Amino acid sequence: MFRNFILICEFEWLALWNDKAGLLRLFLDPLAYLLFLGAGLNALITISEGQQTTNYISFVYPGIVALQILRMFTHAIYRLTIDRRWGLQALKIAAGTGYLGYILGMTFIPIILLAAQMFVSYPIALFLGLSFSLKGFFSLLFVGSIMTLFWSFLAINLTFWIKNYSQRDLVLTCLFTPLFLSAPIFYSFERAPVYLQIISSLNPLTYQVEAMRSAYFEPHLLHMTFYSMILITLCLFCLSIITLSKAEFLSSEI
Amino acid sequence: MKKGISLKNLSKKYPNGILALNNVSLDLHYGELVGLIGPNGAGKSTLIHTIAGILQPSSGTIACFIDDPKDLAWVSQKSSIDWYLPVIDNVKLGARLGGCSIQEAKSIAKENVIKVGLEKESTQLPDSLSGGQQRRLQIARALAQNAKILILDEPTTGLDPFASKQFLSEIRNIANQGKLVLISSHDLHSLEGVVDRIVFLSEGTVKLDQEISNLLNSTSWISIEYEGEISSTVRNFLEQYRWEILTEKSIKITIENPQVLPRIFTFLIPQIDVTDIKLSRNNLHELYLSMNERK
Repeated sequence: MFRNFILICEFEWLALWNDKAGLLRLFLDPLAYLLFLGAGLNALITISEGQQTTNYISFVYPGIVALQILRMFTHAIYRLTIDRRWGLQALKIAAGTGYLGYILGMTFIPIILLAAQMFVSYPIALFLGLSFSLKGFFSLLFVGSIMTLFWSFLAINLTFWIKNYSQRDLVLTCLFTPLFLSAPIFYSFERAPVYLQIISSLNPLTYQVEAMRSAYFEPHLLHMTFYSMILITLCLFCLSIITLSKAEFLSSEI
Repeated sequence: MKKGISLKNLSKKYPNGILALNNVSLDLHYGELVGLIGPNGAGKSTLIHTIAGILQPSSGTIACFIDDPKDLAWVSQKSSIDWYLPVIDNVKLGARLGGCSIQEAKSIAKENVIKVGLEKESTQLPDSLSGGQQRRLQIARALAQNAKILILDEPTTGLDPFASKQFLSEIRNIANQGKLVLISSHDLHSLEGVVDRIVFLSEGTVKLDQEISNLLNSTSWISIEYEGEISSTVRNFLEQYRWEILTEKSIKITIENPQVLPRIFTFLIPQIDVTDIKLSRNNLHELYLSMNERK
């Protein structure tokens, strides 16, 4: 299993390395949000909760990390669709990589990317005013990794239903923007208008952003949201294995 | 010869109701190069995908006598390529799937890229390759896997005649090394020279399964040109054979057993005014056409 996991990781990494523009975008994206939107609004907004006040960068940084994880969800859908569409998933599984090796291999590189992104963006966020917390950083990375697994497993299940590129683009368009905008990444859930709170409460990213904020600022406390996230991630993982084992990889050719 | 693949009463019905395979039973052996032929939609790709384990049969059993799934390599009819990986890395994937270490895979990939004539393109991304080159890339990947069973779905489509000949000679060598190769193709002329056995599939059933040497030696046809008319006695006699009217004054009789020739001549020559007789050995193309007519 481990050998197969390494094999899938190796070729996912090679594919990513060959897509230099995509790789660059993954690193520039969080920096752009921090340096422009984050820093710009930081001068305008201070978040007050009870007696405590927090600068906007501290508030928004975990959300920006969550946003990058959502971006990796779209990357995962792209890669998985290619793998399925061109019969590579079938080739790899038929050659004995196994469902487990395949699924874990496909989800590991996004976690490595998340770690790399955080190592690059964290010093910038500190420079812009985020309070330093080593424990908070690793706690954020840990929760972010679970979240990455959640979205990667969801991507595996979604791509099972995607038959072509236009369906893929439709799914991405219909999912990414509403998920991104309705989650409290750049605003506070408590202070949002009621209609937005209702919409936001239907978005899994909302709970994940809240869990990430807690992970950074209260790393000693693991909220119910975090445990729920682990449970749902495990369910999605099991569903991914069932989905792959039941999938007919090629069904249009006779 | 040791059995490589054994199919028993294999059927595959798609959710849309199409019965792509209907009770197919076949035994394929190591050291054999088997040609799978048949018209479009006959079920060849379904059979290949089912053997490769990527489609589940509706009923029946498939036994692949291999120690490890990596011992079965498969080339799809479609361009099964990772478009984000350069040629060399796509081929390396085959070597890694075959169980090579990262270092070994590099040299095996290089070797196979050279073998299929893609060394100049080895660092390019596949979308810059022509259709034939993309096909060669897939072949190189399958060869790099070094599997004991090789299943190839129309691998010569898009290859130029030289590349096609070179590839078929390569897979002949692979079969000579004791491996089992199953190849589906419409390139009957090229297949005829290399395969050991022909399986003709039509409407999901095996219509013919025979060694190529027996098939081509045993089956031939005679064309007879004549003057005058064919009497009902002659027609009645011909009904026991497969025969057809070629032109107004010529007929063609398919001969499956050469021993019947004297009997045919002895009967026909006094009955009709024969002007010319041509005896031809069958080829795979003729056989294919006659099988298609028969179905």
